[in-house]
This record gives sequence, structure tokens and C-alpha cells, in this order.
Amino acid sequence: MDPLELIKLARQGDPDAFYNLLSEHKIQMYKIAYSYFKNEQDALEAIQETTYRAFNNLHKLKQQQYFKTWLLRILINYCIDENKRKNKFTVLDDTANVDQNEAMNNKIDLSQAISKLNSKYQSIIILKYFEDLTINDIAFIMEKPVGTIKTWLNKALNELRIILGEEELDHAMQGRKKTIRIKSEL
Amino acid sequence: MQCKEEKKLSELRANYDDISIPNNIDEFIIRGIKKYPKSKSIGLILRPFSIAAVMALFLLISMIRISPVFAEYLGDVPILKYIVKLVHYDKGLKSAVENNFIQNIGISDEHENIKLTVDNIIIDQARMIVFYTIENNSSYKYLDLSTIKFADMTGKNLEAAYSYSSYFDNDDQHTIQDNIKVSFVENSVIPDTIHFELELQHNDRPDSMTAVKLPYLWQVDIPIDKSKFENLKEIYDINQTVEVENQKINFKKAVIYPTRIEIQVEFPEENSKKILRFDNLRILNEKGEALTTITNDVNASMPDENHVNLYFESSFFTLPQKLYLHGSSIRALDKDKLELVVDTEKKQLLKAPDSNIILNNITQTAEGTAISFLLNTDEVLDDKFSYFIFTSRLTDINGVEFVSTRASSSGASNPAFKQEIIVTIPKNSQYTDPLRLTIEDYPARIEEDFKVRIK
Repeated sequence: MDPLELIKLARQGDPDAFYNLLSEHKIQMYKIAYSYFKNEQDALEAIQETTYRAFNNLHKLKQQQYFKTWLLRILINYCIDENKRKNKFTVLDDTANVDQNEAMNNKIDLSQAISKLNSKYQSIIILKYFEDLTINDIAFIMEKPVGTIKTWLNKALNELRIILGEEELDHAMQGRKKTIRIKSEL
Repeated sequence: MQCKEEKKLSELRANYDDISIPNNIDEFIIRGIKKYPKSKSIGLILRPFSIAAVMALFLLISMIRISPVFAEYLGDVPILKYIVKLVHYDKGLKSAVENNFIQNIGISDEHENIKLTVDNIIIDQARMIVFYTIENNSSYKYLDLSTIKFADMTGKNLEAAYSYSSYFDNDDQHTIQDNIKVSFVENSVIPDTIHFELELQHNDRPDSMTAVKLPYLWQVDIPIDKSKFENLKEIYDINQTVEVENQKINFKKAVIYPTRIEIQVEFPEENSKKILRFDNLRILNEKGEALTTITNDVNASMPDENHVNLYFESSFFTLPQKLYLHGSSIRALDKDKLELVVDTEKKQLLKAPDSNIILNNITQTAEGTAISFLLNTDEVLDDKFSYFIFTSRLTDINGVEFVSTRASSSGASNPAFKQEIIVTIPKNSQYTDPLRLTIEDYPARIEEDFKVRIK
């Protein structure tokens, strides 16, 4: 069925219509949530909560053609809030554990660097580089002007560079070969 | 420099694309959808005019979560184990089970490899809790209750309200153990045998909304040992009047049954305000332990406009030395403000209790004319509470009565208001503006501490 038709039915409270609507986006939702939490359980909970919030607030969606971006906005807001809440209580992973595995390549370092960014920069990186969304869509999701998103994107990339630079320094002090490799690639 | 980061990010992209997708995502989507409430209020009030309709009154409540610590308790008595789990949230029922105030039944009925067994009941003059097991050896994947009936042996329905949970989202669909709570209308005669009828529905996925009813009737005749509960009640005369902001509240009597405490309250006619609800009334014993309002079942009844009977967890088996009733906040509204008048043609609110409610819009939907109101509620006291505000009956200028449907949702399009309430007048109703809606609950409060000794 046409998505707009499904939205219309879902707005009238039809659970099947809403289920079909969400099925279209579930993989994308899962991957985004997984990138925030790095574990299956939290990512699935994010999907459950996003489904609930979206169904509950569907009547507020003004432009129905933006359903997908609107849905991702709800998801990302949840992920950011949840991460904030969790960070109050949990100690971030000890990077040493990861480093022990020499087989892991520098992709890990970059992915860790991303998780060290603040949540809005993190979101922008995920949406832009992993989800291939346009700046316009990202602006809609994050409820900010396009110009702001562009600025943030630049800042996010800059920060990534700084974080990676610092890590190189850390690694260098501990005499790890791996870091030298990263350095040469950057 | 920057393009290098971008390049690395696109390499990392391969990792992202390889994130493995668990095959149970759908379950979580369905759980999210099911969490969306059709009705959010859990408490239910029995009104005199609804008694005739009470047989058809069902409360679907959310799954009860069980504390693992308590589940360990009485762990070596297998039959009691799940019962303890099911009542742990109610201190009165919990001590009833611990004191063996329970009748063993063990009667089954089976159709197409689906076996219903009524294992035990807790019953007194006020309530009955039926503990049952459904063993599903059929090919139906997900089962749920469809219709429930309790009657005497002549087939006459019991005067009672029923509440029960849906278990479509139970992890174990092979053996389901749950309970149905039956709240008797006051002074109803309990028969020696209660005839219980159940219909089930099934679905291929955990969703009751598109479920299909099975063509069988599971029936169990439950023998009731009335000697176990006859005369089991304590009655305390309270006869104390509390006065808050010139409004009098007479606490008349407390009746303590094994399954609940009933507090009889009277509001004198001369009060200028109508007392709508008590926000946080609770009963404390001499140690300061609190008994709270009954949850997941009927929590009050209203014999008439000026009387209400409130139901609390029972102290019957814990034998407290003293009991006090404590409260600090009451929802009340001036008696001349108990209505809301709206002109649907001009889309105007002609009368409202205060500025906490506004007319949002009036639209024509498939069901009829939908009048949407926005309501401002208390951040703390009304957190997670959905107001319906109006009774289901409304009248037009000529006094013609209509039955409307009401829906309430948290969150409203206007950020200044926290809830939206939609009253829908059925399609093809002939009415003349303005319409008059009766208010039965409202977020207007008297906040003042009071304490009354019961025992």
C-alpha cells in the first residue's frame, strides 16, 4: 500500500498500518541505534520506544512525506537522551581491551573516536556518512537550519581529527605499532 | 586534512553496512505499538447507572511485572509459586495467599488440545481472584483471552466488573498462568457455584488487534466454599469530618475484607465544591507502612452523587494495631463550574471551569464530529495520568442526550498544554448548538494535609 495511505490509516489508530509502515524502516532504524549503543539489546529497545513514541505522536506529523526523517528524529533524540542517561552511570569502555586485539585495524579507533564526539556531532556523522542522508534531511531531523548543520559537520570532522591526533599521542607514548600505521594514513 | 577523515569514514561505512540485523526486530515494533494505550487510566469507578452494564465491563490491563526476589518466596510449593508472583504487587492479596486464604479448584475443560484449568481462587464478599492455567498443545501460535463470563447456575451474569491482562506478548505461549479479578457489586449474593465461560482468540503474531476468535467455549463450574469467608470482615466506625478550604468530607466507616479495605465517604450537600477525586489517599499502620489504592482493578464505587466508597489493599491478615488515613491533595471544582458549553457551529467555548482548558478544533471524522480540547495539567501530580474529564453523556440546548466517545492523549500540538481530549459525537446525530458537557474529573486542586484515625 502507498505509504501516505498507510500513514492515514495509522493516524486513525490502525496498528497493522503502522506496523507495515515501520517495517520499511526497521533495518535503518536498527543500524542507527546500534551505532549509538554498540549492543543489540539497547538497539532493540530503542526501536520499541521509537515505535511507541511515533505511534503516539503521529497526529503531530504535519507533512506526511517527511515520515521517514521524522521517525529518525524521534529515534535519534531517544538515542541521545539514553546515552546521556547511561553515561551518568557507566564507565566508558576501557580502550585498552580493544587495543589488545592486534588483529583489529584502525577502523576501531575511528569508530571509538566517533563515539567520543558529542551526541549532535555523532548523529551528523552517522547520518551523513553511514546513512547517506542529504544535509537537508539531516537539518530536518535535527531541527536546525541547513547552515548550522554544515558548520557542525565541519566541526565534527575537525574534532574527529583532534581526537584521533590525541589518541596517536597516547599510543605513541605507550609505544604501540598500530598508532604509527594510523598516523601514516591520516 | 578534512577529506582524509571523510575518506576514512567511507571505509568505516563498510562496518556499518555489515551490522547484523537480529531477526526479532518485529517483536519490538509490535511491543512498541501495543504500548500505545487505547485507554490510559487504570483505575475504574463503578457508578450506579453502570451496574446493569457491568457484566460487559472489562478492563484490559498491562502485563504485571514480577519481582524475582519475591518469586523465590514459597518457591518449593509449586502450585503457589505463580500465584504469589501474580499477587505480589498487592500487599493484601499477598498476605491472603501467605495465610492460605485460598481455595483449591483444579477443574479443567479442553478443546482442540487447548486446556483451561481453574487452579485456585481467592474469594470473599468483595472480590474474587481466579487463577488459571492455559496449556496450549495446538497449532495456534499466539493465544489470548477473547470474552469472559461469570454467571450463577441459572445462567444469570454475576453483578461484577472483571479485569484481566492480555498475554499475547508472553514469552511462553505454551503454558500461560494468569488471573482474572472479579469485583462484586456491593451486597451481591455470591452463588454456591460460579459458572465460568471463556472464549479464546488466536493470531500468527503477538497482536490482539487482528486476532481471530476460536469456535469453542471453555467452561468450568467453580464450587465456592462460602464458609471460608462468610462473616470475615472487620467494621470500624470512623465518623470524622475533615474540612479543607471550607469543604467538608465525612469519613464514615471502614470495612476490612480479606481482599480489600473499603472506606465509605460522604460529601455533604452544602459543600460549594464537588469533590472529584483524592490524589494520594493512603492508609498507614502504626509502623508507617502504607496500604495504597487498589491497582489494576476497580478502585472505587459511587452509590450516588454525594457518596463514594474507596478501595485499598487489605490489612486483614497483618493485624495492625492502628490504622490512619492520610491525604494531602484533592481534586475539586465549584459546583457551578461542573459543565463545559461549546458552540460547534461558531467553534467557540462558551463556558469552561477555568483557562486550563481551551477548544482546539472541531473536525468531521469517519466516526462523527470530533471536538478537540487542550488541557493543562500538573507537571508532578498528573505525570502519566490521562484525564477524560467528561462523562460520556452530553446534551444539546433542547436537552436531547447523546452518548459520545472520549479519548485522551498525553502531549498536545500546542506546547502550553499537556493533554488533548477528543469528544466524538456519533455520525448523523441531530443536535442544536450549544452542547453541554458534564465534567467528572478536572485538574483543579485543594492541597492541604489531613489525617483520620480508622482504628
